[in-house]
Amino acid sequence: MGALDFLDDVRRMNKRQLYYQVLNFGMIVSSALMIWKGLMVVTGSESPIVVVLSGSMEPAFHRGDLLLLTNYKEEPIRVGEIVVFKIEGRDIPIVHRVLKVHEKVDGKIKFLTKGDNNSVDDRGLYAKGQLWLEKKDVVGRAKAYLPYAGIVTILMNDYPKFKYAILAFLGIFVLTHRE
Amino acid sequence: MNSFTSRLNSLFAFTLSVMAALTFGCFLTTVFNDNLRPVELSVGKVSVKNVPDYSADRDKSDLGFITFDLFTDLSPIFNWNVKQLFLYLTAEYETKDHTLNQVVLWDKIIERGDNTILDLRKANTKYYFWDYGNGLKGNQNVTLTLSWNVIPNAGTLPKVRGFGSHKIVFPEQYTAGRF
Amino acid sequence: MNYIESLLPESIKSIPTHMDFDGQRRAERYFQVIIVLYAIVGFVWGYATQSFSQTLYILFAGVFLSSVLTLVPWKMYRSQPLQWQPARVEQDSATPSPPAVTGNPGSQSKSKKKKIKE
Repeated sequence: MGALDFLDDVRRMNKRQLYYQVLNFGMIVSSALMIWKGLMVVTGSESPIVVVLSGSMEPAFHRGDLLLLTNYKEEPIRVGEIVVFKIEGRDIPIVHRVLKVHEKVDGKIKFLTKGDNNSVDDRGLYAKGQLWLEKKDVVGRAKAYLPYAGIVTILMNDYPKFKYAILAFLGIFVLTHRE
Repeated sequence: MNSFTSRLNSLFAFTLSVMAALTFGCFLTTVFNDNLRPVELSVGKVSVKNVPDYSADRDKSDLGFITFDLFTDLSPIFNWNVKQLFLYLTAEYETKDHTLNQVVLWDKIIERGDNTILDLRKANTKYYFWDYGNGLKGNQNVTLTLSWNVIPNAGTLPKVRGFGSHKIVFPEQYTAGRF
Repeated sequence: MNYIESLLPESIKSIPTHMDFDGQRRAERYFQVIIVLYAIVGFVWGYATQSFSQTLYILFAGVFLSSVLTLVPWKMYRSQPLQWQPARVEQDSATPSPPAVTGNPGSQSKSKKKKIKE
């Protein structure tokens, strides 16, 4: 019975209500997108909020913790900072701490990173033959931290079926429930 | 509110919002702390060699060796929104190729409940002091500082440079032989 | 679920589990007040001891207490049952109610005729 309740709900809706539900759904999606794009403008980072996906920064950050990033051009990269960077040939950005910085007169910078929980620096993680990171590799620097807030992402990553179940459930819920 | 599940749902949602408010309140009480502490630093023996850096480009680079003494008490930094401190000892200097070089020589994680008084004597560095080039020999102005990155339970991630530094003077001659 | 419910003996099924409207309002108010009170106490205590985990433990104690108090449909949430209007007595309850108007006058008149014959 209970699982099919929503069909009954749909049947009882008239056209106007159905349109309203669809528009409502679109409203939620577009406002989420707006917030995300707005944050991109404010923080200057292409991905202002990231979820920590690996344990390489433990005990500071665990899997599923949330980081707020900024990436202002004029802000220099210094040692001790936690940066999120992209490596050629890797889809997922890495969150690690800066270990070494060498800056030239013209502001060109080369730096090396290491995860707090790793015993060696990141040269083994970089692209083949790459010894240093540069400013263009940086997605953002960690400015604020919120524990556990991204745990759903971790669950979705580890169990893809869970992701589809959640998406389907939320979609159906939004489309069929009347306030 | 008419069924057990709807009550459970609203109670859970309300608890989550109260928890978020508490976390934010906790963050607000600590956001204005400067987390500044005095640090006593000094170095023992200092030497420099010129050897190929096999971890990088295999060119002959300057490799510095130092031992250091360090004393500091960081217990006042630990308030109710500090989960951990990440301490790092930085050597900062200028060479003719680079206007700014920062190399982390040593780091340590102090978690909540650990001993917060650091008293190191004749400690060895944790990482090699490689220069990017040959800028250490005869360098009169290498500044050693201790900094820390405060990792909160939730909130911003301040990076603080300890009050107090030490200047290293490297010898004009390379040390010959193995270490 | 329905199947399981049908297996229960009558004595258990007859235990009332509902809350009346006033009870629902009070239940919601109670858990809000309890959780906020515990949160405030926890915040002050956590600040005094400089330990945020203490704050959360106190909050969880409040959540547990309010769960016990308000999730379970206790008898006190049924103290003001709805006052239904008394059922109105039909004038001629003996005659069957007229069939629903289907918009077909012919059939209606037929049934009327039947009644008259009776």
